[in-house]
Amino acid sequence: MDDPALMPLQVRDRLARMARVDPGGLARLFSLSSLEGDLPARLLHALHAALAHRTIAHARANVPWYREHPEYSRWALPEGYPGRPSELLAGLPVLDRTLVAAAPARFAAEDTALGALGHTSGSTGTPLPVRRSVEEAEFTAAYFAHLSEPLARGGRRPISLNLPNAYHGTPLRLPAPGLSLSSGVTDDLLLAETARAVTARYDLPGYGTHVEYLSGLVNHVLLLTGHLLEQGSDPGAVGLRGVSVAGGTAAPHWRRFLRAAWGCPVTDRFTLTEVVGGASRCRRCDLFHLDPHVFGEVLEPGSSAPVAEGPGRLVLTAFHPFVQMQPMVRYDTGDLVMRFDNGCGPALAFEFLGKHGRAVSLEHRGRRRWLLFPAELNAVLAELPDVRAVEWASNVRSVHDRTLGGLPYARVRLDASCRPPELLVEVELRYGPHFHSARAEEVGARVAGRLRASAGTALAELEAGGAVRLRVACVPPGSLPEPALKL
Amino acid sequence: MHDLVAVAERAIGESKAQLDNDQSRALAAQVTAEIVAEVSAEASARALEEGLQRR
Repeated sequence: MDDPALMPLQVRDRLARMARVDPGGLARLFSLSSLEGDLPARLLHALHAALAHRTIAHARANVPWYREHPEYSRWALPEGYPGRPSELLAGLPVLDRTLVAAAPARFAAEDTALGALGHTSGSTGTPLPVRRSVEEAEFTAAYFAHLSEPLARGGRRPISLNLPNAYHGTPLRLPAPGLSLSSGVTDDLLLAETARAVTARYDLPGYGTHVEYLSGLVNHVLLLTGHLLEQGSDPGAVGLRGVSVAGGTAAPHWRRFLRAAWGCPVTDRFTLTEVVGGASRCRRCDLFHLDPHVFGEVLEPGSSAPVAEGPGRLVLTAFHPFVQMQPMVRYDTGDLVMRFDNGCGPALAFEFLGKHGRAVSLEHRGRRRWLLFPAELNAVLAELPDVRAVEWASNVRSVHDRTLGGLPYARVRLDASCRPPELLVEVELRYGPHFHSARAEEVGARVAGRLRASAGTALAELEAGGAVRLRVACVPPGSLPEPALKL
Repeated sequence: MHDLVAVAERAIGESKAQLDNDQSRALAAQVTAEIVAEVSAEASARALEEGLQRR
């Protein structure tokens, strides 16, 4: 092959049909596809197409649900040309959690051995069991070991501290690039040990002398950071090289706080249990970029029309051999995202807007118009210390502010019986708004201003046209029910 | 598979050394591994053992 332009098609066709995928080779190909330029971008699409072929071939041969649906038998790679990314899986059914949860055994592959049973957290409904095979655990372990190989070079491997996420069943075992310490923050003893581990100096041959990476659920990392500050410790003195947070929405205010407190980059991760992988917020464009080994689409709510730019539902496909026992082809995550075509790398770029069911929209002149996205409301409330937040760590007595990382108390309702319909946003303050009425008005005005300016919504336009009215009401502590666990 | 990797490397013109030295990519890998995996104590022990063997 002399013409480099033909490389992606060659890679696609050979990878699609080879007997066994080598994890190190695939890690290398995905690393190449993440470089700048048109050819790497086309390589990424070729890798997705090849793995889609392998995933669907495996699923229709070994998984009852996929075997029983003829759409999967009819699916084929386009012969002789690469096709467009948006067309890769078009025409296949879109799955959702309810469908899978109703008959999980029908989504289980018959050719693999059960290695671990995970589950979704149940924060937005019945937890979905997630079966993981011995084979996929071995593959993903080898894949990530190859990806992180460069970090182990130079004679000194890093020490990292992980605050494990215990909400998803048996963890998937993957090798850490260095020495991974494990601790927690959910009781006083654990938190004291974590504070010691993160600030300690180590004398371990071949390893760094201190913790260089910290990762965990965003509320756990925030609580730890707050605790250190309350104790008079400077987190910045630890010398971290990176913090990564996942498992919840990290509002911009809290990402800035963590960056300033630790003095290092903060990686915001978007992840879900059903798919091995997710997305990381890009340090250049500040949007989420999907991991290269995950295939993402943004579709119109209520239809399977693709969205090139703007709000839509996020639909993910987990590829074989990363996911083998419970294949998820075109799985609707239940999340609304704002898709951007900003030219920053080939991966799907998006902003998380919140759960689809918690966003507010209005049918206006035959069209769905978005009025409010939960993540935007959370972003503005996180900036306002007046707003009461959930004291999620109420049993951790060694921390004074146990609300760090807790979601704000707020409630949103659209009253369509009013003329025009009223979008009522109730915000619970830490004090009675009548005691500080001028400040409460400021809070209300700031929330309203941000919601009206929220990208992707038609709130300001519809209000100007008299089609809807926004009212932000500040209410005293204790007025609103506990917020949902996730946005 | 190795042939295929070589084909892609030649076409993109990227040397292995260049790619491997990119710390940001390594960090991204680390982040993915840490967060997705919720690395268990057992995995840490295995990684430590492998590290010692390499040296």
